[in-house]
Amino acid sequence: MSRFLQVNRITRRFAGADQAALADVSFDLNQREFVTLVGASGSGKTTLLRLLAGLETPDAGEINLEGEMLSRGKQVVVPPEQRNFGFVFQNHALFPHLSVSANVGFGLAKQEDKRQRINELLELVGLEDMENRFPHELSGGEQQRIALVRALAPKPRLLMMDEPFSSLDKALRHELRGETRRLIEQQGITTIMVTHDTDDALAVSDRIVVLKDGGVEQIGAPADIYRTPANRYVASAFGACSFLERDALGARQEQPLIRGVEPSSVAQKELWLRPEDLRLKAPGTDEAIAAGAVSEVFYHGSSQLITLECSGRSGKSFTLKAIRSGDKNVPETGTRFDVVIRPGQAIFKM
Amino acid sequence: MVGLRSLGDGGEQWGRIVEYRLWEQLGSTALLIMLVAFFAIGIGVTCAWLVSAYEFRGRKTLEWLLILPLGVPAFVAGAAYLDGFEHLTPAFLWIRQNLGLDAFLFTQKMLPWIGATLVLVVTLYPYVYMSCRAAFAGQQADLIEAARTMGCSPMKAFLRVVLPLARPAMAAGAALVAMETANDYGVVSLFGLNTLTPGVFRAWSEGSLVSAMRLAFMLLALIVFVMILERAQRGRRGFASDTRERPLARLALTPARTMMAWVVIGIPLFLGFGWPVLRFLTWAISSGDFAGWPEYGGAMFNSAWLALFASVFVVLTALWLTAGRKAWQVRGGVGMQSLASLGYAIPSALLAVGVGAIVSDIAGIHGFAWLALSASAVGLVFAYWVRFMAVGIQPVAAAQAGVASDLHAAARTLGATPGRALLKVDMRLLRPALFAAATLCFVDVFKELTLTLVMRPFDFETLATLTFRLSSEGRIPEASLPALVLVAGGMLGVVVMNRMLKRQP
Repeated sequence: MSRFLQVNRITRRFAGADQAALADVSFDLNQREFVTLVGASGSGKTTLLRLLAGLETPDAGEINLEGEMLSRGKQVVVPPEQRNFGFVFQNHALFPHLSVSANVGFGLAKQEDKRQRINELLELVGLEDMENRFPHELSGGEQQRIALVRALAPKPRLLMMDEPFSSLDKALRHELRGETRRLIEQQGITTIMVTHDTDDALAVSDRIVVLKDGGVEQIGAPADIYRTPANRYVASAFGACSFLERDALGARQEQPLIRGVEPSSVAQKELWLRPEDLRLKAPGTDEAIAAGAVSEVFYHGSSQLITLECSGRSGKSFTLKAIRSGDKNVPETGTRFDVVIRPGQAIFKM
Repeated sequence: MVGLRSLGDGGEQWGRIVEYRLWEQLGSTALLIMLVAFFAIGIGVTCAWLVSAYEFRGRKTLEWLLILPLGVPAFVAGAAYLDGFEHLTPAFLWIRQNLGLDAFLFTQKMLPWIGATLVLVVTLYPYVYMSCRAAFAGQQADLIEAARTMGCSPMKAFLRVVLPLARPAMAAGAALVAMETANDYGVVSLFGLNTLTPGVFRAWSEGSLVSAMRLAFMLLALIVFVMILERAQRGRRGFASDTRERPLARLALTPARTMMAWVVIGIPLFLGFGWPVLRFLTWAISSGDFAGWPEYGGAMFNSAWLALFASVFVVLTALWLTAGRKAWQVRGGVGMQSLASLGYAIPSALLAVGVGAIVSDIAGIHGFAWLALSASAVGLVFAYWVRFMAVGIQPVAAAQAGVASDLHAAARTLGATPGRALLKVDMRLLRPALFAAATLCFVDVFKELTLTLVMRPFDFETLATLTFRLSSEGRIPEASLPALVLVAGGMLGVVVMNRMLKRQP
């Protein structure tokens, strides 16, 4: 089955740069899918988005949409204005000289129901009273909503969002990412979002493409990315993770350390642990894999992120991060705990 | 002050002016301003967009060449064209013979308009060009790209987004063009147009100070009216976006289009700079008549010391109004600064009449009669000081904004008095800006014509007045040498201005 959007071996190198901004990147998109491109700054995620929009030209590779060739090699077959893609810019890029309704209607052809479409969209985001305002008279959240419906107005084949929530504060971004997701789902529009915020990516995506230094590290559903990261980079990018060599634990091979784990995986060399995989118990626990002393505590209200300096049975020292929730008392630095792995929670790597 | 005096009894003189001259002068001024502003915007915006959005061979050179006409005083360019128009006589004869008397009279009537408009447009368009170039350079590529993704071709994006957003810049440039046009005395007199500025001086020389003041006020009202009209039109629209500034990637032009760009840019450049300079150079060389040297030298000396005095006063005031008022924390200093900047918007005619009246009033006080003798020179420097204050304040204020105010504070906490901190810290940091301000002011005074012409002491010539007198007497070849010196002085200003523009973000 041919996919909705195909990005085939795209390469882009900027003049004077040692490294390609994008090297041989390929991925596909299904119709109505919400895919997030995640990466640190310089990973090439924004460049990729701009290539898709036709705002940049690739050096090599192809971009196909529903079988239509959009870019091939160094030529943009279809210029940006003919692609019918929606683009939400990082800082919204609302036209300061145009009113809210003129901004929303910018991409609409002069037709009879233009007015109606604008009103309908403004109602969707609850801003129907704002139609005569100018962008600088709106709050950050309102600007973001207008930027979104402006991009949705011409019923784009593909919606692209470049760090849409990065200019908003935390509470607002949580509210807006939910709203944005619902709106896009309701309109049934295929979406690619670029973000460096892995929380946003995990929260809203159907699939995530992790980029690093211009290459794809991993593609997968949020749970896959979180629970079965392809490498240490991906694992640390999506949350705290402790990487342990099994030797450090000094476990005996014949006696599985961790209950509920396939014996085959016990043979693996590395053990990667998310903070919530671990439980801290009072010293003297039977199934403890390690014991250690608290070196740092981050108090989060509902939970505490605790760093333990551990010494394994073989005498090697290592660090573990564990989440402790449901306990009102914050442990003092130096408090000793035994560490237990929750059944079936660790990630094993060769 | 001028306002109060203008309410005085105008006498029958005013009645006559209203009856015979007022409406023609008002109408001509308004029409000339509109014509000049319209074409200057067209040329300025087009050239600014070409050098901002496209990449082609020679772009960087053309980018700064385009401001050269600013160094050519309009009346100097006017003199070069006046002569050219005389060569059109055969064409007029042909029109008279073939198209009849009406057509001939019509062209005769149109010609001064075409000439004055052409000269003012090609020497003033750089104001629009410079402000638009700065605006285009700071324009957010995101906004243009947003328009592209919503179905706009590059041309459409220019019309729907770039142009509307550059409007404040266009208006700012056009406002300068309008003010210079309203102020112009040299070009309109050379071409014989009857506008308000010569009208003011005519009324004054006829002895009706009150009428002169009233006319000058109408000129001011006209300028203010145009500005208010533009402001009102803008409404609540915003023009700044907090979108990050990412300069637009320049599109490369094909060789054929590069040629087109050269032609488009080359025409105003040639008309505003190449032709006048070429004309005067040929005259200067072919006439080989340097008998006027002592006269030129004296005029040049006069121009130089007037400009020197005025620019020193201006720069000192600018320093006081920017750094000084911060150092001593003068209240209401901001108001003083903007008030002082207003001088540039006051028509020269109004200023001349006002200062003239003040000087004659003071000289009337017992014991100050000596002032009447040197009055005009003192008054002249004072008038320059008021008029060119903005020229001095602007670069200093801009530099001051860039200097971290912490530096001054640091000097103070380390035990320096305000004065010492000003001398040791602020002045050192502002030195390039102070120098630039002084140069710009010097150049502006050096080539100033309108104020000088009416306020100078009897028999006192500067290079500008000399050039103007010689050209209006039809002795253009003799005027060529002082004209070239004026242009050379203007070039100095252009160089400084270009460096200041480049340093802007």
